[in-house]
Amino acid sequence: MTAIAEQADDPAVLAAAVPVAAAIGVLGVVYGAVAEPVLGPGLTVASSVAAFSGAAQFAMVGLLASGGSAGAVLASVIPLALRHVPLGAILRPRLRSGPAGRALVSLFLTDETVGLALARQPPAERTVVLSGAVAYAAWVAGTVAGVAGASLGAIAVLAEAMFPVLFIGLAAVTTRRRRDAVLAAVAGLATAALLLVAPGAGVLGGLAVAIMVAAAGGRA
Amino acid sequence: MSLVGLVAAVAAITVGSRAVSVAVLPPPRGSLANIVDRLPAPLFAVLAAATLLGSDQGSSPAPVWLAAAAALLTVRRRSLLLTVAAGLAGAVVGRALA
Repeated sequence: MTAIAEQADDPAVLAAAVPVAAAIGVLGVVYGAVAEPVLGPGLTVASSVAAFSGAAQFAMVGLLASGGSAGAVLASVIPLALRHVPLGAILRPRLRSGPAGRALVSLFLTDETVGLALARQPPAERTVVLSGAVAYAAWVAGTVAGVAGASLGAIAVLAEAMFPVLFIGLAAVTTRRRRDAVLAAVAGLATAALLLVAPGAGVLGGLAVAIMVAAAGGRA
Repeated sequence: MSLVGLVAAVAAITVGSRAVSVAVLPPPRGSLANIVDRLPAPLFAVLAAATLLGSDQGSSPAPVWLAAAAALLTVRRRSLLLTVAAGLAGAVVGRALA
C-alpha cells in the first residue's frame, strides 16, 4: 500500500482522468437506458456496481435482448475478460505494492486507467486507483441516469469520439522510440484490415494482432 | 440460471480476471518481458482502430472520423491532453458540418 500512499501528483492525474470519466459516464447513460428493459432498474444498476465493465455488460444485455442463453452470455464474457491478462502484464512491472495492494489496483484495471498510468512515471498504483475511482463513479452515475431516462442529446457524438481519440493519444504517449511508432502504425492498420474483412473479430482479434506485432517487432 | 445469478457470474468473471492478472500472475520475464515492453503503443493503436471500426453499428459516424483525424495530427507532440482537445474539437466541427 506504500506506493499507493506516496505519489503526490493527484491533481494532474485527476485532470487527465476527468475527460475520460466524462465519456465513460455518457456510455453509462447509454448502458442504463439499454439494459433497464432487459434487467430491470435495480439489477441494471447492480450490474454496473459489481462488474464495472462496459464491454462485458453490453455483451450480456445485447445477448439477453436477442434471446441468448446464459451460456452464450458467459461464453462471450470470458474472452472479453482475457484482455485483462496483457493489460495486467503491462502494468505489473510498474507496481510496487504487495498482493493486497495489487488486488485493490485490479478493481480499476481498464484500458483507460492502464493507459493513463503508462503516461506517467511509475509507480502506477495511485494513477490507476484515482483515475479508476473517478471512472467507476461516472460509470455507475451514468447507469443510474440512463435507468432514470436521461437523454444524451448533442453530447452523444462527443462521447463516441472520445474513445478512439483517447486511444490515439495513449498510443502516442506510450511511443518512446521510432520503432514503437512503426509498430503502432502497423498494428492499427492490420487491425483495421482485419475488422473490415472479419468484423466479428472484435477487440480480441485486435489484441492478437497487437501481441503478434509486438512479438515480431523484436526481430525487426 | 436466474438473471441475478447471471449478473453475479459476469461480475465474478470480470473482477476475477482483473485480480488474477494483476495480483496473482508474476511479472513477465525474459523474452515475454521484451514483448510486453513493446506492447503498449501497438495495443492502444489497436484499440483506437477497434473503436473506430468495430462497433455493433458498423463504422463510426463522420464526426468521429474527423475527431480521429484531428487527434492524429497532434501525435508527434506526445501530449494526451492536446490530442484529446484536438479530437473533441474535430468532433464538434464534424457535428456542425454534418
